[in-house]
Amino acid sequence: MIRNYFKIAWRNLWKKKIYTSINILGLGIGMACCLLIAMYVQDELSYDKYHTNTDRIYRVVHAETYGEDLKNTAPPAPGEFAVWGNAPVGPALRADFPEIEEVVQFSGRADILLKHGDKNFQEEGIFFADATVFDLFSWKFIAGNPKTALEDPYSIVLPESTAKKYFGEENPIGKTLEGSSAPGRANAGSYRVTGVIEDIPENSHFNFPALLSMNTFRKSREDIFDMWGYVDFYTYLLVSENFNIEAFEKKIPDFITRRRGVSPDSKYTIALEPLSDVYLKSEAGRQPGDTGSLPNIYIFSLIGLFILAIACINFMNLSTARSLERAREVGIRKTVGAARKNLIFQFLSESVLIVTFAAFLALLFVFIALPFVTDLTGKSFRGVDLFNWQSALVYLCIIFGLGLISGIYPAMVLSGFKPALILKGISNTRTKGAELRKGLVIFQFSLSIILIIGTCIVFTQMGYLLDKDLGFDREQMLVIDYNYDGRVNNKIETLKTTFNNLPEISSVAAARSVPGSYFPNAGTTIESQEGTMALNVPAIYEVDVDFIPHFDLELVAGRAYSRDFPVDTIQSLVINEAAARLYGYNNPDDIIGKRFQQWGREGKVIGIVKDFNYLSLHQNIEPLTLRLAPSECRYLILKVTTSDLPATIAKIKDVWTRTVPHRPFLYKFLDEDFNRQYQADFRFRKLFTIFSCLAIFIACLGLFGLASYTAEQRTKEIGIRKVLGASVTNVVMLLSKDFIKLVVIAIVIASPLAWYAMTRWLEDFAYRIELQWWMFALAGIAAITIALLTVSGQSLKAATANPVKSLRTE
Amino acid sequence: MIKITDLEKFYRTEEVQTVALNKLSFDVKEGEFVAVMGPSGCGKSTLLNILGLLDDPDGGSFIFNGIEVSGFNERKRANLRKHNIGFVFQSFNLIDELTVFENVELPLIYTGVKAADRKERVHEVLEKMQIMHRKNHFPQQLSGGQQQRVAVARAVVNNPKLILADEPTGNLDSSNGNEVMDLLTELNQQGTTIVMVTHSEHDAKFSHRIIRMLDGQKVTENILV
Ligand SMILES: Nc1ncnc2c1ncn2[C@@H]1O[C@H](COP(=O)(O)OP(=O)(O)OP(=O)(O)O)[C@@H](O)[C@H]1O
Ligand SMILES: [Mg+2]
Repeated sequence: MIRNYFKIAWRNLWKKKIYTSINILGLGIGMACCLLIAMYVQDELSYDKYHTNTDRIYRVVHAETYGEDLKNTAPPAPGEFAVWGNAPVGPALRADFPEIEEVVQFSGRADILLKHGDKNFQEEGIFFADATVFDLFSWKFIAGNPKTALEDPYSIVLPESTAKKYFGEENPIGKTLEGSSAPGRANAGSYRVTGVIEDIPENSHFNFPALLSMNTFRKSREDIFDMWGYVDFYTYLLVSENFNIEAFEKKIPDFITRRRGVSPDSKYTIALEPLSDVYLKSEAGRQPGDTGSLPNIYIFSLIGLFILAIACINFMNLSTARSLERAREVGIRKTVGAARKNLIFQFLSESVLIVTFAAFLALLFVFIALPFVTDLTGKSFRGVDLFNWQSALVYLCIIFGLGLISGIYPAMVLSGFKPALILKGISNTRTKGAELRKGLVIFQFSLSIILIIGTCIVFTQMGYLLDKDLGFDREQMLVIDYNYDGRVNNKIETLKTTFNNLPEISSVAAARSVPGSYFPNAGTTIESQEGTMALNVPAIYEVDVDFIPHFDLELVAGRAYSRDFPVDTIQSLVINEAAARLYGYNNPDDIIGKRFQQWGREGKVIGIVKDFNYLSLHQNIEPLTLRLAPSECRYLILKVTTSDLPATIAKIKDVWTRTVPHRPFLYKFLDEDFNRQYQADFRFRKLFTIFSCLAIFIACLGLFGLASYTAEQRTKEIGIRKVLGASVTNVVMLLSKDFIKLVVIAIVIASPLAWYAMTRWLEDFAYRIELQWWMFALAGIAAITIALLTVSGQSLKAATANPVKSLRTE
Repeated sequence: MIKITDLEKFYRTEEVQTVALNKLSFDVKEGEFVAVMGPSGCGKSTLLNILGLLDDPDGGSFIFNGIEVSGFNERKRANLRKHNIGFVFQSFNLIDELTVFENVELPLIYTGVKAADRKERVHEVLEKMQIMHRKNHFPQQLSGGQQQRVAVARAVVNNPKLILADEPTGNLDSSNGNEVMDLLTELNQQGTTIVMVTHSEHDAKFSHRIIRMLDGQKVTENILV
């Protein structure tokens, strides 16, 4: 019997090729989208789950409040914590709590020049790590002993790809790599390779080109490891099986008081984050690697469902729209003995058959799309992951699930026909479910229009991010990274003069931080309005004397650093408006001349720069101090004024290699680097756009199908109208009107929903566009145009057909 | 075999109510061949639909094989129908997507006959209807007479006790029509009860008894044999 059903289903589908291909194509695309999104989501959810001890690993996050914030007694919000913190907290936790079985600490990210023979690269994001690191994290060893690999000073453990990069096919164990100094952490030295591990899986919340032994760090800066106020460490804990986080958190205040003591100037606390939440749920600042976005997972899962819903609706609508065609068959089958359940079963097997074809098509699409998806998401998915029995099982469930969902309604409608009526040849009654069908089309288009409006707004916001005046000059700024190299800093004046003499370069400055790059915070005391000294910990940019004019920063009070004032090198401080406000000065002029202390320097505040967006536009401008410290610099920034960039870069490189030949010439452009902060946003935009296009495409496929059926069903009516003198335009209007009405209703429904959703999305940006009515209008017009194009083709075909012919066929 | 008493059927459209059957009563005995005649719109097809359990009466009683069936739900009716009743229509009503063989096979599928038995039975019937050579053709590739022979084959393949025919010759020329009438007569002689609606006095002569209707009521009965 089942075989018979499938045979008939197959013939039916083959006979109605347009209908079948619309359904299969729509469902195929829908399922492919869902599959890809599912792969993406699954990957996002899999972060850090591969460690044997994942459930028992926690991360310490730190929060410290100062100044005005001390009056606020509420515990710090999740966003006020930072992952980066002090060193002593780790060993203290281990010593005080038996439920904490092991601790591993990493240093902050270090960029170090590694050298082996003629291979010389600056490796970014290296960590110093405790020898216990491999007790917590299950990174697999290829060679070396995990217990002892990071024991001795100047030991280094390399992931396989780094090992290959320096040593090729040689066995690296026991060989050495020359490491440059890691300023503030370790002196230059020869690192002995003590271990090679498999590359860190991509689904890890942080990654590194090498691990160095913490004892290297400890050897050169022993003092730091007892300083509760020195921030340069990430602390991870391995807890016992029966660890209870709530009970533990109650003990934290006592622990802090006991170990660190209390200070009138600041309040310090810690919290724990389970490793499995770190990638997606941590809101803490100063992360050791990239974080994911939980909202994006929700958004894309929702979009996946939208697309699938749209495709399923196509199926339902086209099947019920065809009900007249099938009615006679239903009648005949019933007279020869079919029970309703037989017919329901028959129609369901048709939908399962369609979904099965769609599923294969979806697999094909996924394979075609995989390389692009890898490109788009930065994740590398492998097609083979789709072929295992779990996937096959899921796939089978999806096929039957979807077949059932999309097939059950048409099956109920079609099988419910009364044979007595049908066999009498009643064929011009309205087809069943016309109202519902309209409702579903409205639903489809509402979803599509929400996505179109969303796309429109995402594009506008991203454009705004790129075009907004950030308050500093970021055009054609070439940034050379020499990584605090003392030998470069010694020659910095020579370099600056030489570069300034090049006609293609209009200005040169040096700094430790540039907008978009790393910067530290510094405990800074400034005299308040009342004459007391107030401590806060604002961000700090260490800059040279040319930095402020070079970036065209606007002064709102006082003056910039100047070579004419020798005191500037040790006794002056320039801050931004936000910092002035932080210390209680709403009028920037009032803070000029006030006393300050910062990192062992004392003197007077001499200037206030207008707030500029040194952080991404997701964030507000935070208090910033610009400290004159030319010898602490890391970057040399050149303002290039030529259009022939390659030639100029070659020239610059030439000067560089002649002046400081030991230091590789590494450069980037400031605007590109700054915009790299929006990489995730751009990715979001791309994916969002693609999915929106697919959604509207599938919705239009359905509309096309419906339009052609309507046109077909109304051929007789059209013929009569034409005989009576209706023009082609009249007829096209007649046929298109109904559909356009539905799209207009969809616009009305979609607009407020999109408005709500996009307002929420924009909240993630401190600087954002205002939603404008024209964005909605534009999306609406786009939807109507697309719908009109889809429908009018079919209408036109019907309208231009010879009426005599169409009348004769009836 | 069939006993209807005071059978009523109404059709309600927006404003008017049509009385299609008005307290109609008659019996059909097992093995009888009955023709129903009457002007267009008098309720013949409505009657046949009710007799065939395709439709439910609005009033009165319908006893089929000793069981009161008015008020049966669809599932029960379908079940009774598939084992006992075969249909032949004026417009053949074959499924265009299925071959001759598959069309005839259909009732057997719904009664759950095994594939091998089905094949045998279908061949037997097609043989009898002299349409075997066309078994893999689709209905649209056949002439009207051939299509009606397939329809008759489909109606009898299950060995139903009752065959209901609604103007079986209406779409056929006289020679094809006679062929179909001969088939029905032969079936009747083998014991099948037949109720046939017709407009043709010629066809009606093949039956044992003619029931004449007007406006949903029986007016006369002529017994021919
Ligand atoms: N679905 C329906 N809705 C409303 N009225 C109906 C419906 N079906 C039949 N009728 C009415 O019921 C009456 C009987 O119809 P029926 O089809 O039984 O006539 P008939 O005797 O078979 O006619 P013909 O010889 O033309 O086939 C007619 O007046 C018809 O208009
Ligand atoms: Mg009739």
